[in-house]
Amino acid sequence: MSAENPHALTGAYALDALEPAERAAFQAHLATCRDCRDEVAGMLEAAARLGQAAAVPPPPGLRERALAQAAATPQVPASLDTFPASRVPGRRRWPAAVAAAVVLVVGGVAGGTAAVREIRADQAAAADQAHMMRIATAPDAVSHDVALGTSHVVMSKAMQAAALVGEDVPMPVRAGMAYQLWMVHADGSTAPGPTFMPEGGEVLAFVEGDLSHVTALSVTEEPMAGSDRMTGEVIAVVAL
Amino acid sequence: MDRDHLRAVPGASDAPGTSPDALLALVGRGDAAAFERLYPLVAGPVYGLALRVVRNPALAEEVSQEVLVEVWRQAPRFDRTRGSAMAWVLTMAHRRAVDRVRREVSQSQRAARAAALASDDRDVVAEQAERSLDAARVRQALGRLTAPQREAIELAFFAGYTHQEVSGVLGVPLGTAKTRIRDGLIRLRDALGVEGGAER
Repeated sequence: MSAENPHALTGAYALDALEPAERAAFQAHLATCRDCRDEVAGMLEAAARLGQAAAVPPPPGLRERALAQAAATPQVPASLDTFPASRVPGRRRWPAAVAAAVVLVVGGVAGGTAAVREIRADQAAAADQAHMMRIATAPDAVSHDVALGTSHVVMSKAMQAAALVGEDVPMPVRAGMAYQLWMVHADGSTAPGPTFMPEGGEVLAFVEGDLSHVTALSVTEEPMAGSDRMTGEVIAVVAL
Repeated sequence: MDRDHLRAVPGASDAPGTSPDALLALVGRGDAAAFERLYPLVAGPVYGLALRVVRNPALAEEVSQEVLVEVWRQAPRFDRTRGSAMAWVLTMAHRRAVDRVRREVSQSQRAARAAALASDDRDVVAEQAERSLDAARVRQALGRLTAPQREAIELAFFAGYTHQEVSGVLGVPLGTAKTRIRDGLIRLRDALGVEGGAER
């Protein structure tokens, strides 16, 4: 995608015409660019009119089924905004979740001793979005789907970085546990990555370091503080 | 007074305003009665849009049901200052329909039916627009686009094409496809006189 001029992607974004990695990168851009947010908002309204023009009477059974299923479905919490209202506002689901995301960055893959830092500030979240965008738009960037909600990994070996980006991610099955990312090497050995938790179903976690010998990333449930060695079952794995 | 009339959220459904915006705001507070009142306003557009994108009634119905439940589930996050209820709902519907069609219909299959679709759709849109409330305005607005703009938007919006696919099918560079989609949408927006959120 055009890393130099993401503004050109507003239309394609509004019509869901971006590939997943591009979409994620553009959403990161949106969080920091009011012009694009405004433009996209207007475009979504226009697209909605096109959609309305396509209206046809719904099948008769739909109403009953939808209402019944809704009645059995709990609503999401009223807001992700546990931070000040002055945060970078964003459209759709992504920016809020990014701002809310607890982002953990692991330095030093080989050493296995994770220097973990925790970032909550909006400014830092914006920096992480920018970081993710740089990964996703690197010339050698690749994207892989991950079977954890609707997630994917974008990775650039040249940048020595990968980001796990996802939405609709369920909370860990076991109470009090977090997800943890693992780097899997060719010989089957693993190195610990960051732990992360879904915020409104969305996740963002980075792995940094020399990824040239990492053949896969996997996800397990581990205690909140993270484990040095896998203790949980692998619940998702993606070959790189 | 009418104390024997129980409501999901006391008093909430009495609120004036039966616009999708007002109703969705009530739904966001857990008002099941408001969701029932919202249903007839959004179900037709959601189903119609899903049907246009996935082109299979059973699949469209499945997508619609998922979307409608999602509307209920996520309604507490609806923020009118960022856009209208209809745009919020249909953005969700479109996204889900597109994800579905990309997963279940291969790129080559979608490419194969593209050519016919592009010419086809023009009439369908016009015909359907006739029936809708904003019929004249939508039709007029579409008429303000250049043919290449309209084609690019239709492929992306109704056929669920990525901009790479749009560029491939139309045989134009990617940058051109992007520009047509963006410029076309801006023109459509201006012609319809719609505004985005009030995030100012």
